[in-house]
Amino acid sequence: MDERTLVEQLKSGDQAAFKTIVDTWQNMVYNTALGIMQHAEDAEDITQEVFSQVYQSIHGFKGDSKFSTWLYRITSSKALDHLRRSRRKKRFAFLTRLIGENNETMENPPDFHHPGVVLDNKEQAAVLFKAIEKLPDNQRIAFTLNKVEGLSYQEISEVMDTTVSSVESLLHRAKSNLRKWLKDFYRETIE
Amino acid sequence: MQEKIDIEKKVEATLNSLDGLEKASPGPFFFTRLQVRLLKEQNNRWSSISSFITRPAVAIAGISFIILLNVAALFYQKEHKITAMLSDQNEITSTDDYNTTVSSNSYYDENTEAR
Repeated sequence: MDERTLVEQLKSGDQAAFKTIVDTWQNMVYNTALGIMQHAEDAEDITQEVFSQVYQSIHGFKGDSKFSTWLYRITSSKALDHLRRSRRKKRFAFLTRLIGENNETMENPPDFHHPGVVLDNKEQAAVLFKAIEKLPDNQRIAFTLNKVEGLSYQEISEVMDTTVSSVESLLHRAKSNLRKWLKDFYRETIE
Repeated sequence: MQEKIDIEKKVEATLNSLDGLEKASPGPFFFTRLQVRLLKEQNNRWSSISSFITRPAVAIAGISFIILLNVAALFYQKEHKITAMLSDQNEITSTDDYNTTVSSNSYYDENTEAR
């Protein structure tokens, strides 16, 4: 069944169509969320949020873009919101610790291991994900969509609602930032 | 120098470490968990509406608004009644006037006939 028919059926309240949509795109949404969040539970939570929004606001989808593009857009914006919220929480926890209201020690999150990484690359991929965390939000989204989801520059530009040249520049800056961070990281480990 | 080359190599290898990445998938029975969430959200929506309505401030404001409407309606009705009564009275007075005119005329007529 093609996506347009599925969307129309969901608009008319067909539950079977919704199940088919979820079955078809759940891996794509989860993988994207996992790449951005680097946390399995958060990624599952975001995937549920995305499909919940799809179910509730399917009438808002006009079909101007591909359905998958719409899903990528919802996923990346939800993941970013989630990231910003958790950063705020961390900052607040840090402040309360400084003031002395909260005596709990801040724990560094453990290294993230993506389950789909080739075994030989596991350690290096964990280092790369750590570096990706340091990127500005839009570079992080563009890089994840390109490297984790394998989207082309054209597809990323549609998801991020920008031009192909902007995506090229975003990815160029992302790679040079990563190179810089990785160089420092390996230099420190050698020393 | 060798160290620098090694670092460069490591950096490039790290940047390419996501090549051939397989897509991750959520745990089994994802759809069932999603359905539970949707059901919860639906219930939450109703409970949030009811909790909003039963908030003291909202409830008091709502009740005050209804009382205000009633008072306004009462005043409007009262005023309407007064104007209606006044116009009725005016009508009665004008009929009385007419009656007195008629009766005085008839008296006059009677008197002239008697003569």
